[in-house]
Amino acid sequence: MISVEELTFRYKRRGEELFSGLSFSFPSGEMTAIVGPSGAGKSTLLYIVGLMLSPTSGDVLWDGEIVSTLADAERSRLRAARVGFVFQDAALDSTRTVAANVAEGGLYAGVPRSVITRRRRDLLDRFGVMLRDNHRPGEVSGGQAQRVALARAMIKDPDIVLADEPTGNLDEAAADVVMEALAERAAGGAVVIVATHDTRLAGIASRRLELTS
Amino acid sequence: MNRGSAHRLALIKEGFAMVRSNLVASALIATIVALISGAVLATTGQTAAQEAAVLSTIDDAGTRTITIREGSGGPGFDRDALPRILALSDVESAIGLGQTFDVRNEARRGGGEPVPTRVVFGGPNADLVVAQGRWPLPGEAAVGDGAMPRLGLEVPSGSVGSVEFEPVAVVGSFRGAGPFANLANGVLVGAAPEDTTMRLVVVVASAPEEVAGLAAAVVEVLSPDDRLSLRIETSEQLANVRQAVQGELGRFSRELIVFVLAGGLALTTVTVLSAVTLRKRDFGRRRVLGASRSAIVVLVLTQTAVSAVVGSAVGTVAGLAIVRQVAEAVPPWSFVVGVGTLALLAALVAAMLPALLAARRDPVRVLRVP
Ligand SMILES: Nc1ncnc2c1ncn2[C@@H]1O[C@H](COP(=O)(O)OP(=O)(O)OP(=O)(O)O)[C@@H](O)[C@H]1O
Ligand SMILES: [Mg+2]
Repeated sequence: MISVEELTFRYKRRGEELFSGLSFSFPSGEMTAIVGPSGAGKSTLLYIVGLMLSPTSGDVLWDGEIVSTLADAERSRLRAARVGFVFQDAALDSTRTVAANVAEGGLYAGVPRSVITRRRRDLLDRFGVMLRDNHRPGEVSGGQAQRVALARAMIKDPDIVLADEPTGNLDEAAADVVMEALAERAAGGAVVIVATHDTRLAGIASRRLELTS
Repeated sequence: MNRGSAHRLALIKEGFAMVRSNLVASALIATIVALISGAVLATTGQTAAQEAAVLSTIDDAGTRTITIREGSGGPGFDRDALPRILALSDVESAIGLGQTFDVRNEARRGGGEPVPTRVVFGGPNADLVVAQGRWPLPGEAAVGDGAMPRLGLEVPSGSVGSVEFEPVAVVGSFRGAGPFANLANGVLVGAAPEDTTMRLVVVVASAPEEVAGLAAAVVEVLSPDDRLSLRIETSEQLANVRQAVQGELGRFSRELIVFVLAGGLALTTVTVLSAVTLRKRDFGRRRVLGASRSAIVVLVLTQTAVSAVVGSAVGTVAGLAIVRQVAEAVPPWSFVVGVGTLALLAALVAAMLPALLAARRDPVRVLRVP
């Protein structure tokens, strides 16, 4: 389980305050949707619970322990070991093959090569991009790229999944694949948090956090 | 292999992969390193080759030789002094020479050319070597290769003698270099037990800078009481010239190397810096996916190291080819390897700052900017 307590965040010392003392918990085994208008801080909150940004005040707790004050190296290690992150724009490495991009998801956690190879096949197969294993991101469609990014996030078998507008650029069929995978992850016991404007995606989430600007 | 080192290995492999996926930057780094090592080799390598050549010429001329003889009419030196001189430290070799006379080839029945001959105390050494046969035992002769034709000898055999002296058997021939070059134009006869007196002692020091000290020690052994009557020829002046040459050439190369390295260092820093700046989104993504700061540093340094190794190899080969062409000599291998390693290290040092900058960049901010 992940929770935030009395969370406040400012990008700049004098910048506008986001969240203003937000306390909320994201339970394991459930998908939580963060919704709200553009600029409300949905992405920011994902980065904070994923330990990429540190709160201005308040705490982030993973499994009941404060993790937001850990040193950078320790936060990187936790993120590598436990967090699967799905970027809004897929963020693939265009210079590498699809296979290498997916493998990168396990690189920093030290997932053994054999495990990566086996899981990569399963995941790409399931997401319907198997045939494009050795292609470069420039040669696959936007929807396919997003599914590759999803496979990259899932390859380490993360127990925390953070997804920023994962269905933003997808048609309905492609979005379905992504939503299914996220729901399945939650059903498997992971903490799944999505920041989204997509009402279909928000609709399948069991919890909802509405941010206002 | 444990999980930690497997992880590090995977990271280094990723660094190798980055060389290919950033071919332009990698090629630039390789080129700069190739230019550094090539330029240093082509310029100072020539100097190093010259230096080695000049120094060996000076060494050949006998910078390390000490020759001691007595003033006229002295009694000479006792042969027992020779083993004591050889026992001194910093002595590379030493021989004693006794009385001088002329010999002819016995097979020519008193005809033929007379050849100068000396009694020799001590054995062969690095500059006085057996060419054929063996070194003469007491009462045997060896012929210098320059004297062979004068005695009409194809192979060192037969015997030599003169009106005053009993014939002695020829058992070998020898070559002489450096201080012993002249001896090769004559004949050496091994000192018999009754030959007790050396006229001349030639000592070769192990290094030019030992000459002065060694000369004093040799004098002490030969004639502790009566030093004034000795005539000592050392090569201290030559040794001084040698030192001056070495210092001058050395300083010139060092300045050049420092200059080229500093330039290369700056160029590499700029190249790696712009490479990591261009790819800041790439590093931001890696950080979000769990790469620690040190992992980023490892990636940047690995990429630089691989490119630099390639560049250094290419530059070294090219630099050597240039030196060969221009100076027709090859600098010492230690110098070549040293230059290659130095260029590689310089590239790594230059990449350190950009690597740290890439590692410290805020991944969130970087990813927001498309
Ligand atoms: N580096 C930054 N410095 C200052 N302000 C920033 C910075 N990054 C983001 N912000 C501001 O923080 C606020 C929250 O941004 P965030 O991206 O979290 O919103 P969001 O809810 O994800 O919006 P969207 O739905 O458009 O993705 C915005 O007003 C944005 O302008
Ligand atoms: Mg957002």
